[in-house]
Amino acid sequence: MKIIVNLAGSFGLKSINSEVSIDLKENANVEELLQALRRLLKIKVFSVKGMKSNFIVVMINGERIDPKFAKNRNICESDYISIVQPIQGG
Amino acid sequence: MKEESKMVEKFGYFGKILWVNLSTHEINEREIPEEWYHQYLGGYGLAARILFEEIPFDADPLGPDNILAFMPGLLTGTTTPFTGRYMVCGKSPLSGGWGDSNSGGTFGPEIKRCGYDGIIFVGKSEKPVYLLIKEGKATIEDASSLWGKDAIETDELLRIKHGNRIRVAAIGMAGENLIRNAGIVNDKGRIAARSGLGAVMGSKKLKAVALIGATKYPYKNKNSVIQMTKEYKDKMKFKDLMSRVMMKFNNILPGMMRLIKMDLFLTEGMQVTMMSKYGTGLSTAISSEVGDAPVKNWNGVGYIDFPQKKVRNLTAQNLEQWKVKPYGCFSCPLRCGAILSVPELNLKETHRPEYETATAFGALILNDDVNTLLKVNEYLNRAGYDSISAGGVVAFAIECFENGIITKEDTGGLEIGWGKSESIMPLLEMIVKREHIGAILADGVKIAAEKIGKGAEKYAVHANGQELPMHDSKFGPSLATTYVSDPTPGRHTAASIDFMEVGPIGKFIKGLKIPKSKKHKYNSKGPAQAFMAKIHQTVNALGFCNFATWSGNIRLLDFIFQATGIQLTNDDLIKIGYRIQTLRQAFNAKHGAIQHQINTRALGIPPMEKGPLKGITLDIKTMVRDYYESMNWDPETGIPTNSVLEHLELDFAKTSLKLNTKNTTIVMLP
Repeated sequence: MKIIVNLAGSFGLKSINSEVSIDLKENANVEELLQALRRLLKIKVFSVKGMKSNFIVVMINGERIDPKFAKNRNICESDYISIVQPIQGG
Repeated sequence: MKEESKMVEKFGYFGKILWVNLSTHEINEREIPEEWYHQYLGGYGLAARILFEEIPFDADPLGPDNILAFMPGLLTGTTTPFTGRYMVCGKSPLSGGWGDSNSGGTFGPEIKRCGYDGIIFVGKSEKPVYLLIKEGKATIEDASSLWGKDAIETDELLRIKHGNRIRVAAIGMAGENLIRNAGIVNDKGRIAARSGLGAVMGSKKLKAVALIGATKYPYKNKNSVIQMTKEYKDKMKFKDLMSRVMMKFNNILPGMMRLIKMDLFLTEGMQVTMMSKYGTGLSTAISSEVGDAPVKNWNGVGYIDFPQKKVRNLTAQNLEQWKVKPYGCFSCPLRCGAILSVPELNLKETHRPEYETATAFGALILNDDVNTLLKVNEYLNRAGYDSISAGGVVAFAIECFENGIITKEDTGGLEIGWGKSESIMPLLEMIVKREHIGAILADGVKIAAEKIGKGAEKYAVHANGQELPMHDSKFGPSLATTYVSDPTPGRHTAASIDFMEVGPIGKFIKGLKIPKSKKHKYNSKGPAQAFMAKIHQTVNALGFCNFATWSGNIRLLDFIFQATGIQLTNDDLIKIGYRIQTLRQAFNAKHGAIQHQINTRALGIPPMEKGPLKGITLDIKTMVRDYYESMNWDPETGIPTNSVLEHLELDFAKTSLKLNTKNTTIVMLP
């Protein structure tokens, strides 16, 4: 299935505010999504460790995914997925 | 000998302010008692001490009895990093209580270069005037030819007349037309925007304050301050470098971070690196996604109403294509500002929109057109109109229009609506010119809703008359306490603990013991909120920018001592802040302006059904009561108690409060 992921923030030295399209197997979970992104973009903070260290926040349909459930949370094509850098201010 | 022994050499301040009576055109110098600098430092601390006694309780904010004070921080004018700021203070036409606003750039230090710790305007001129200080002489000049010009034109015309060294703070059309959300513009795009003090300036027919000074800052030990500044900047450069290196090798980052516990170090480094490049707009896209940014007048959900494909048009990353150069305020090592050039919009030189503006004219009204954002930003800077409030007013007007409360008849035929980008500029011009419905919207959403009626108050998102900023209090619950109970309501820059919870603010001053609190545990927050309210006043009164507190440790007590000779401890810093905050609150008690009004959308009443803020309802009563209790103010009314006034050497306020609060109606929390 084809998944669109919205990226917003500075990940590594890359500042990204764009969407990427990625192919995943049916019923892939969040951890598998991050692994695929990591391969595609070569940014290692796209990982469950990155979630745990608060380098990234993964949100699906407006809800923050707890890294503990990254393996259990399956994704479908209609999901609105975003990965953001957890900063606030301005 | 006797005379000499009486003379006390002053360091760090001049011991005097310039007192300008616009009714009589008299200009005097007033001496400030030595101990006030120890008790209130500078900036709005000093202003609170002066204005509490000088502004009568029944003063009309737009009348001659109100006072307008331009006050640099105590350290402003030194090289101390981040201290280039000044505060404008007076009675706010939005809240009817204490008003202050803060701006950077180069204007604040110029007040010091003129040899004053502040400039205060009383009365009201019959004709438009500006204050000129040049070659050590202060004069009131005719501003008839400047009246009607925008703030940037005014700055440029005064530069042509008096030379490029001049530093100007001016109002634009918004201040002239007494738009209650008007601000005061300096450096052609920095703005003391909040509290509506531009309207106060307009009511006094004061178009501008223009300064060229040559007085040196009276350091106690200049070399030490310069040396400490250099050390601080070197440390920042090192953090920046380390941050870049570590981000480059991000393959090993997450594991390594935990291993060597450098997360905070990196956070500070990243703050320096990323803020220097992108400014506050760095978080525009992120905020609407996670729930920090209010969407669709505080009633929408980011991923549904304003998804990333829309918001990313407005981010600092997208604005990079027009960036010509970065710039910083006086003495700032972070330099988060930038000048853009957008020839296609005929904007040769324009300031990069800040996060607040990009969200107020983005997610809040569902505008995704970057050209509109750029035009609006330039227009508001020229008009001298607070972009936060302007966005709030536009959002209110749109929602009223969508619900048939106002119609095309009211708008002169203009069709407005969510995401209708082409209608935003005409609507803003209508407000600034006070035409059609603009004449009502010009008073801000609270008064406009009262005048419009028909249930419009439901859509008026404000706290005590001031439109709320672009940080949803459901995302940062302590913000709600700040919005509703700070003497200047509706301010995200005023002492909320939620920024502390996400940033390394606790590292700014070594040795501070910050009370713990939990984000959504509403009965845990009072002591932390009170602590932050206190320390925040001190940081402001010294002239610091808020971003200083995110950039790691500074030798604050050493900087204060070497610049001013005032020796303080951390406990002193807290007590001084406590005194300032209590006096600001006492000002509101005296003026009957403790109101506790806040739109329930900011509290999650009713709770949102979708998105990151789903199901959140804030217990505002508990949070505010706990905060008041921790401040030792009356927990129900927020009026400072006699015992706290005595403890803080604010005895002079006791009689005034006794006289003026007995008939005051305090609006209680919902």
